[in-house]
Formats: sequence, structure tokens, C-alpha cells
Amino acid sequence: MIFGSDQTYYDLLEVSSDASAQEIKNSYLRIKAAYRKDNLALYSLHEASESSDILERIEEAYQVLHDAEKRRDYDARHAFTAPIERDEIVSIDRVPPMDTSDESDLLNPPTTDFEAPERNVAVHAPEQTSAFATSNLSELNAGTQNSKSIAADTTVATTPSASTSDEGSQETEWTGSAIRKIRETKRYSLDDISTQTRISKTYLQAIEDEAFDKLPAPVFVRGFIIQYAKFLKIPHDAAAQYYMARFKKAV
Amino acid sequence: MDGSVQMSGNKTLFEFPTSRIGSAPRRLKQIWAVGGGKGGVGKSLLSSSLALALSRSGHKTLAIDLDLGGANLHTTLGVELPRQTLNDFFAERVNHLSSCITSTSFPNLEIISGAQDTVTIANLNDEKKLRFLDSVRDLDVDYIIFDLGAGTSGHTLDFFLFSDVNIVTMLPEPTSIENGYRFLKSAYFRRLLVNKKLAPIHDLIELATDSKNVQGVRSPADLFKLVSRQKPEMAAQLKAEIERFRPKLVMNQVRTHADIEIGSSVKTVCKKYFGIDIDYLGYLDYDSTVWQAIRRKRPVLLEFPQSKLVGNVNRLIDQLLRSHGEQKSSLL
Ligand SMILES: Nc1ncnc2c1ncn2[C@@H]1O[C@H](COP(=O)(O)OP(=O)(O)OP(=O)(O)O)[C@@H](O)[C@H]1O
Ligand SMILES: [Mg+2]
Repeated sequence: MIFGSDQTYYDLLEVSSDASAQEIKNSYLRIKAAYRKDNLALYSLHEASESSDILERIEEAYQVLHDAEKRRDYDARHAFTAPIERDEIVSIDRVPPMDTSDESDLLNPPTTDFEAPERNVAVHAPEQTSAFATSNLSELNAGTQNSKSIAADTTVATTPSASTSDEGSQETEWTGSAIRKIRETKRYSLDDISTQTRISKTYLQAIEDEAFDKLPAPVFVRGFIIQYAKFLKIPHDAAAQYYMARFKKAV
Repeated sequence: MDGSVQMSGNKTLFEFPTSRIGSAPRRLKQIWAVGGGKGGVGKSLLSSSLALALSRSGHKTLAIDLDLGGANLHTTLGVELPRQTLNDFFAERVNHLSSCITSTSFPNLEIISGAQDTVTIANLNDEKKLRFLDSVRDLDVDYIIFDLGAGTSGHTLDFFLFSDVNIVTMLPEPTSIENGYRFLKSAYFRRLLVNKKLAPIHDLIELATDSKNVQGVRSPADLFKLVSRQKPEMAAQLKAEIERFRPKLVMNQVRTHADIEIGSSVKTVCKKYFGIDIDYLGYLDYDSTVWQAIRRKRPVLLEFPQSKLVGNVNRLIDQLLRSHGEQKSSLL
């Protein structure tokens, strides 16, 4: 989305990655209409002169996503997932905003990634609409949050190889939670990682949780680990080797 | 009360009242606020219709007229100007906000009429406002609807923000759309400004609220870029706060299908240009019965039950209740 430099084609077309062909088409037409020069909705937006630029990117995205084969290719290259259950959203344009599939994550402040396993039972609907939900929550949690950030700081010292060097990392245990700790130390949210690596958040989460049953075939997982590890600047080969050994043993 | 006004440097910051841990359970389920920047875009029509529809489906509902100086919600609901209004609360002539409640001729529906007195309004400060917001939560009702005034004054924005459902109305007209965007952006920046977690970047947020700032910060998205450059350690927090706010859009006075679709375009454009995610909740048809009903000082939903507005409003209510109406308010 707008905050990351990398927008996927799905972001551009404001659909989720499991959208049907019809949904994609509807959304494409809707967005194209939105940027028509005479559209009232553009009134007073001087930046609207960029709209031809946006239209070009929309067009490019549509050319790929409306072609089943190209879309499959694109999905494979970007590790998009199979359909995920979505919350119902309040919108009359039936096309969900791009990030609905991850609604529950969006609503958690980054720090709550620490409680990742509880993520799915986290509240969704109320927070989505209440401007001050989080500030209230955070006040209640002020104590816990402090201790969390201390914990995050100490992990710098205790987690294996938070440094970028490859030395001595052969023995490091690259478990899902070790990887998570590194990520948290570096203060990335799963969203950040997902945007940067284009690995879907569901998979990233499963990797960290070692929810092996939620992961695809080993060959893909290996690729994910390498990508993820490269992004975190940890020794990717060692990490992949260690992690894959665990993965295969468990499966 | 737990809201407070504090001095920070030379600026006054205040916090909204927050949850009171251990206080007695409240009856209130949610506060919905209806705003929209421009005058005459149907804020009062929508607020009164939502309130009436909620009350008719069995929820005890209170509509509060927060149009400072332009209060007319009572007329929309066919109530004579009540003796006690928000004037009395703000001027501290009554101790309890509940003394300002006036019943209507409709079961389950009450109103608090707005402040008209210019002196009282001019003297409305953050402290009184916070006392009001704090008291509102103790009222013995299920739903509260705020009918806001036009414009983007700090008070109006704060009333808008202190609610569980933030509804913006626009007409399919250039001026309304322009003001609607301005209102949304102002509300956004205001919301970030009163967020304690973002205190380290208050100066940058303040800068963004000055529409003529030289840094060219025009939108939450611009602010995010600026913060990423100047205070990168705060960027993730800011992003999370920005994404957490989801105002709802209602298009009013639509006449054609194209008018309805302007709402979708507004949603798309808001996201692309401002980084603001809105939910397009629905629309109200243009209906000539509205002014007839106003002339008769009767709610249009009751005076003209055949009006298309009845269906429009019911759909909006269904949407809102289905998605989160039964959730406990986060403001309590
Ligand atoms: N859907 C509609 N169909 C026909 N007329 C409408 C509709 N909505 C609003 N109007 C007309 O527009 C006028 C303004 O509506 P309303 O008072 O609800 O707006 P407002 O936003 O509350 O205005 P203000 O900012 O002055 O408080 C009403 O008198 C009514 O006649
Ligand atoms: Mg009004």
C-alpha cells in the first residue's frame, strides 16, 4: 500500500490475493473510473495530475491478474497464498480493501506480534472502527509493553548471531522463534517483512510459529527461509539448513 | 474524571477520557458520530434518521446535537426547543449532563439539544469538553449519536474522534467533496496529535496540520514519509496508528448510479492520495419528501414511510449493527 514502496498487483487493484477473476475485473473497472479526469472524486486534489501514471500501473497489474496463466506465474513468484478466511467488512463496494485478509493483524499494534499465537482470536470488528481503542489498550498495557521492549533489547545480547557475520553461526539453532527474536530485535513487523520479501504473512507467521502443517512443500519453504534470512541479514544458508532439518523431521 | 489537560512545552495537549478500570459497568454500547466538513450535506438528516431507526429497533438511543451555534436537530425530530440544552451544561448551570436530556414523542428516543448561546460557545474550552465527553459515557442509553456542526474546528474534530463509528457525509458535488477531504485529513491529524504514543513526533504532526507547510506535507502518507526520514524509529508506530482509523463514508442526495459510484471513487482516491482507508458504508437517495417533512417538523422516516430513505437508512443500520454494533465501546 501507500506506505511501502512495493505495491503488489493485488494492492494496486485493491483486491485480496484470493480474489476471483470477476472481483478483479470489477475492482479494475471501479478504479479506472475513479481516475477518470472528470471524476468528481478527484476534485481539489492537485496531485491528481499523477493519475495517468497510476492508471498505467493499474493497467499493468490488470494485464497480469486477469490472465489466469500469468496470474499463476505471478503468484508463484511472489508466494501468494491460497484463500484465507476473511472477516466481513463494512463496505457497499463489494471489493474488499487490499488488506482485509490480514485485518486481525492490522489491528494489533506491532508489539502484539509478540503474542503471535493468539493472533486469530484477537478482536477484529470493534477496533477497526474505534479511533481510540488502541490508545486505551496501550494505557492498560503500559506496564507490559515496557517490559516487552526491555525484553526485546536484551535479545540483542542473547539471541544467536544478531550480528550480520557468518562466523560461528554453524551451531546456531535457527528455530522459528529464534528468527522471530531477530526480527523483533530489528523492529520489523511481519507486515514489513511481507512487503519487502513478498512472502505472504500467513507463511511468515507459520514459519515463526513452526506451524509446519500450514506451510507448503519443503522446496518452497526453503526458498522462503533464504529470502527471509537474507532480509534479516542472518546467515541464510545455515538458517535454511537448520530450519529445513527440523521441518522435515516434523512432517 | 480521567481526561486531562496538560501543558507540554508551550503547547496545550489533552487526552481523551480513557477506560476507567474497575468502574461500574455502563449501559452504553457505542457512540456514533456524523460529520462532514461542509454545511448542509445532511449530517442532521442522517443523525436523526439513524437515531430514530435505532430506537425503533428497540435500542434506547440518545441523539446529541453538537452543532455549536447552529443547533437544529430538535427540529428534524419534531421537538420544540427544549428548556434545558447543552448551554446549561457548558455554562455549568446544571450538574449532570443527564439533566439536559429531553424526551421525544418516539419511544426509546431522547435528545440533548445543542448549545446556541454564543458566549457559552466561545467559552467552551478543552476542560469543559472533556467533562462532557466523560459524562456522556455514563448516560443510561444503548447508543448515542453525535450530530456535528460544519467546519473543522478543534471541538468538532474532537467530538467526531471520540466515537466508535466515525461517519462522514458527502454530497456528489465538488465543494462537498473538497470539504469532505479536508475534514478527513484534519480529523486524521488531530487524532494523531492527541495520541500520547506519538508524542515524540508531535512537532512533525503539528507541522503537517499547517496546510501551508513548506515541507509539502499534505496528507498522512506525506507525514509518514517525513517521519521515516527524520524519526525512522517512530515510523512503524505512526503507520500502525494511521491504519487503525477507519472512517465510514455515506454519500447523500444521490440521484443516479454514477452518484453512488462517486463514493467508491472517493474511497479509492483517499487511499491512494492520503493513505486513508475508509469504508464506503452506503448512500441516501435524494428525496423531495425530505423538505416536506422538515416543513411539517416531522422525521421523514415516519412522515413518509414509502420514501426511499427508509430503505437507505435501514441498510446503513443493518451494516453497522452487523459489523460491530453489538461490540462494547472502546471508549468506556
Ligand atoms: N437525501 C436528501 N434528499 C433531499 N434533501 C435533502 C437530503 N439530505 C439533505 N437534504 C436537504 O438538505 C438540507 C440540509 O440537510 P441537513 O440539515 O441534514 O444538513 P447538515 O449537514 O446537518 O447541515 P448543517 O451543517 O447546516 O447542520 C435539509 O434541509 C434538506 O432539505
Ligand atoms: Mg445539522
